[in-house]
Amino acid sequence: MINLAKSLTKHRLIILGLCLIPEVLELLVMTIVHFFRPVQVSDSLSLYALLLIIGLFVVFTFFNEQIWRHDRYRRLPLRTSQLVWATNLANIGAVICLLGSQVLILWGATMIDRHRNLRIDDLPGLNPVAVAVIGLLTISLSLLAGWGVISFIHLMTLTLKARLPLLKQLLVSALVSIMLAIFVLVFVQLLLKGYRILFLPKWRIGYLYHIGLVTIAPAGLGYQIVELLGVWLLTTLGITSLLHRYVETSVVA
Amino acid sequence: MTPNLELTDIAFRRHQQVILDSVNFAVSPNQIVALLGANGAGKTTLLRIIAGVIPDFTGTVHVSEQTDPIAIKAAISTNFDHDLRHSHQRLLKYAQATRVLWPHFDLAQFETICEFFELSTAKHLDELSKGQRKQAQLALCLANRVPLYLLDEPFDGLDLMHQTQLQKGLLQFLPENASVLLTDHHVESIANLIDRVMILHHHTIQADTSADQIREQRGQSISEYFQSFYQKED
Repeated sequence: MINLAKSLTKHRLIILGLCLIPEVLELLVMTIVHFFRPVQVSDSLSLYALLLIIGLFVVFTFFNEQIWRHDRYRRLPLRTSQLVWATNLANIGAVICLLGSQVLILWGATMIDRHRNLRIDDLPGLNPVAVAVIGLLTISLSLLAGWGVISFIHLMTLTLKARLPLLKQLLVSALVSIMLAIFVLVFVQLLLKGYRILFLPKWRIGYLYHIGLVTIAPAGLGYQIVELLGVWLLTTLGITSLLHRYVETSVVA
Repeated sequence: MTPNLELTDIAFRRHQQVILDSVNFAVSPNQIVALLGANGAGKTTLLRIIAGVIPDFTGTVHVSEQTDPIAIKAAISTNFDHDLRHSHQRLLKYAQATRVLWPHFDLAQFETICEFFELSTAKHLDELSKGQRKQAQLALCLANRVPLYLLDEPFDGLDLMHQTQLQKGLLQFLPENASVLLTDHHVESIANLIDRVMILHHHTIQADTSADQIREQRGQSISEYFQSFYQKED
């Protein structure tokens, strides 16, 4: 299971690494530009962080499907629960690495802004790096919870479809598509709402910093952790019991 | 001797259509069995049921007396585990990743088999020709040292030279006491390889006989036997 998780994490990191390329380039360009005119590096990077988050969401959903669709994974001599946890571990691994890279990049950007005596914010007593870390952690947890929901819906559909006649299968597909569309719309709307706040003068450090401030209260972060644990528990129990036969197929019926 | 594979009353429906019904047979150690049948007869479906990737069938699959689905998966190696078409990975890297995931995979054996096929393990997967891809699939399949091998059209689309080379490789590197269940449409090209022939028709095994019996008692080639089976039907 650990080996599979490592293997999956490696695949995810390749994609995530590619996602980070524009961000790193932007950091380099902005660093050069700031010597000629006043720009705030951390602001510009926050836009990339937003795009990255959307990309990440798509990537995780895509990779999650690979396990269940490809014989290479479905043939592995692992139990359903082991596959589920291998995927979970891989996602956590990828998120931790992403988190580290984002913190480093934003920290670098913040340092550049400070060097140029641009004030990040007037809020006292808050370390911007700590706020950004909490912000990123919050977003990561939300993403994992979101991924869990989509994964659960997807696998429920697969199980249902395997037991239904063709017409009902199409009906289930249509219903699930509508549900997912609503889910994605709500998600994008939330992200856009957060992004609009970015342009308010008070929140100059960017989207991640803003999210960090909003959720720095223990209740915000605590809520995300509870939500994540709840979704994971539901997903793991659901998949393990409902989809037992989907992966562990060679059994007496 | 305990059979390496034993199927009892396997039945499978897809979209309420019967694909397989009352499929029963066993494969002994050291046997190479050809599963023949027309297109759409259900050969690949049956292999995928045995391999554990198709759900919702009825009946039992025993591999070396194992009934636990996970133990069964570990005791089977197939050529369709390795698609190899959509990756830029080097062959050796792919094999190293496979070794990590499969408990009985022998990397040294894989390299020996590739040497036998004169196949460079430094090649990228998407650069392999069709013949090389089939060689790589078979090398990966045989490097997994298990009692049962499932080969779905392993020689499909290959010229005679490549077919002969692959068949030699299969015979040379097959572990002792292992069995092979393979499907192929080009019956004559596998005639010298197989010990036994089964014909899947009308959702079930309609004929099951040894290759020697076909040749010696019936005086027919495997291909003639296969064709005569369908002519009888007409």
